[in-house]
Amino acid sequence: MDGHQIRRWEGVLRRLPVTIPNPFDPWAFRDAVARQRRRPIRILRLDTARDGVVGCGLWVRARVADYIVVDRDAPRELAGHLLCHELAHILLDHKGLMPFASAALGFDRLDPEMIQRVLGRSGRFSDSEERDAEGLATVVRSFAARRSPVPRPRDGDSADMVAIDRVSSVFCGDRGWLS
Amino acid sequence: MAVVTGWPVLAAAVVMMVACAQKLTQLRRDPDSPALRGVCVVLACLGAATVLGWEPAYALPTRITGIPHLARLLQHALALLAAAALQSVFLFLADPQTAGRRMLRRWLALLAALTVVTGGFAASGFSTASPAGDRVTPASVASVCAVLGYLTFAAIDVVGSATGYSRLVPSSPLRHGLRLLTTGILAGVAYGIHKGLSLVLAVIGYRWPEAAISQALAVAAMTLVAAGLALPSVGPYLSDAVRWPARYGLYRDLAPLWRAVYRINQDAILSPPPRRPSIRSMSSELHRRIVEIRFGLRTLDRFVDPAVGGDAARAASSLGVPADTARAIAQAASIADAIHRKTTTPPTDPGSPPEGDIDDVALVAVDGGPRSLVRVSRAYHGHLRLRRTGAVAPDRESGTPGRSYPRLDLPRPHELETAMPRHDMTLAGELYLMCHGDRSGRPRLHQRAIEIGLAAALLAELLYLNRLHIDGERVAPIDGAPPPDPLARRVWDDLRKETHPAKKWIAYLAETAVEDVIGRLHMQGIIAPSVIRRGLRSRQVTVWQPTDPVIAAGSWARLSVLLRQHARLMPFDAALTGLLHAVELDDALLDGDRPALEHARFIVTHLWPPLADLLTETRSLLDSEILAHRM
Repeated sequence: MDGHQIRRWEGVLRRLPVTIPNPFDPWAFRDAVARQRRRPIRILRLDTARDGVVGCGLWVRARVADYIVVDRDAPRELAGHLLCHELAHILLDHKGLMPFASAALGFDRLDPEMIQRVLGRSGRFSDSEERDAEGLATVVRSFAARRSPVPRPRDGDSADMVAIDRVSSVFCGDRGWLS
Repeated sequence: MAVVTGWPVLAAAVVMMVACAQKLTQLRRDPDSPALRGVCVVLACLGAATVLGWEPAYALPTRITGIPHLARLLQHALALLAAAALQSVFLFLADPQTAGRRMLRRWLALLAALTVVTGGFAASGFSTASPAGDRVTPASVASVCAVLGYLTFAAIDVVGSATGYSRLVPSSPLRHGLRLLTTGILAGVAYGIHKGLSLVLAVIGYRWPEAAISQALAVAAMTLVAAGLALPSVGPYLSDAVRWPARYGLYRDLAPLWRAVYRINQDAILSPPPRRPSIRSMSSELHRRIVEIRFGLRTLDRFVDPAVGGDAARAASSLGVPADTARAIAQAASIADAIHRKTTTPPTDPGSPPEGDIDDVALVAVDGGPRSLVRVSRAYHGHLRLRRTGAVAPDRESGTPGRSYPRLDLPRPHELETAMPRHDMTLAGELYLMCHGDRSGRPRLHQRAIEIGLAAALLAELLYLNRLHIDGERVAPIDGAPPPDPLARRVWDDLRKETHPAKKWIAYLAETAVEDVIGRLHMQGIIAPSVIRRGLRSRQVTVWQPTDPVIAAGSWARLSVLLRQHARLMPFDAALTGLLHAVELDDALLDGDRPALEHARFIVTHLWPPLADLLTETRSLLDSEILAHRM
């Protein structure tokens, strides 16, 4: 990735109203995204390497929750990256819909009627949405390391919490200004 | 404020200018932030006040306007403005809704202070000859009191908020920045107290030599405030700069494994990796490299033969290497074997290990952090060097020569001693690899010679597929089934559309031959892109490096050995020898070995007539355009 692409993704992350944990933890980031969207995000560790099924990662948006499928046998570092990739799809509000064989993944209880969107990371980045999600998932870790550990405020937080978010915005330049 | 000479003021001015430039960049990203605008005003005022304190700059306003010591008035005004701007920053941080209203009273106080300062300055009656601090008059006392009074008011306003925020923030550059800012303001307060005491002593008739202490306190206060404002955003980049060498070491050491993975899966690559990432991008590029390696290794799982890793581990242990290194060697051997299986298994065949449980993938799924991956990459690199040199490579970690990597007898697709070329390597592909460095990917010839040589190789491929005939200058495509290779098919289709002499076709194909051949080698996973920066303007250039240097070096070594042994060549190797002779690379290949060169020329003079005609035309075109030269 060249400097222009990195700056672009850092700009997107800077505008996100979501706490990016520092030190970065993909699972804590998942919790922050879920809190901000007020929708549960459930992670399913499944064998995605089976024939006929998308490889590696998958985001399934259902009516009341989001499901993220992560390769069961992926090492922790790769699994974390797959999770970030799918979270990037969610944060960027991607619309893609791909063929989805729920039974093949073991989604026996998931009604196909409930599924609104499906996006998967297959390790091929020819599609622009896939490239965008992969770029964001790559940059988020280093961005988090440069960011201050101040969480983004939520509804009901004290005035001090909101104020130190603004302090971080002005002094660190790691987030947008909340007026 | 004071007149300061020498490097301290210049160093302080540099700190403020850098901080101001950094915050202006931030303001461009976030223009709606009123507090950020205030920070920029603070830094600009402090920077200007510091520069005005520098002796050559101090005299400039006087020289322009003729008003003695005007710079002193400007310094005071800038200091007051910086203090007010800093107050507004913290008011907006506390509550943007009420900040405007609360700031109104402070602006009025600032206006009053500025009026007193200007009036006092006008009434003081400074002359150009006398130093600014020499005369103590009621007007100058009122002026200094107004400045110190407002600065104290602002300091009380800001220190409380900054200290409160620093207590709320976890330990980080942000907290350190807030503390530095508080320290700077306290240094400013100390300056005010010192200045006030000096003034009192001067009024009662005692001359206190306060200039040196005032100068030091003023510069320290302004520098600390600027550093405190900039540290939270600049600090992480400084930290990245400090960590860059160690991260670059990891990044570079992972390259052999990354290239190996790239051979089998080019689609997992988001963008060509830079050879030497910048400070800003290093962390992302290192993470990217690790993710791509891990993803590539996952795709190898079904090709793993557990016995290979076990054998390598036992061999390594028998040589007495440490357990970690032995494990890395076993994993590297397992990866090399799995890559070999994957690249030699037809795509329709799902492929299965010859023995062992298919779920036993522990040797490829390298666990642990990046450092364990680096150990595997080093072991893999050592394995490659073993295959290339036939010698035991030294251990880069321990420095023990010749004991660390056992000889791993893995089946390789392309042994040096094998007289057969790779089954999937085309003539143009082989020529491309021989015309470029086996590790760096840098060209060994002038670019035009490579283009013309590759164009001739593309035509030679059609000759051997019996889809083309060349007789002298005449080129005649032969009808039949299209060539299976897409590039060869495209060239064949072009040849069937129009009729031209051979030299014209070579010149035409040479326009895109390099890109075409790179594209084909890339699709085969034989070469991988790497981005480097060249020139003063850091222009980005993509260099294509072999994913497995053994393949590239093997082509070179194989043909060299065969020609030195005066062996009879297969048609493929004979054509390659002819092409190397045409582009004048045979001398470098044989390192000036005269008998071997004579043998090569004998082969060239006895080539298949259509190929000999093609090479004659190639040579003729090259002679007419450029003289090939080695780089």
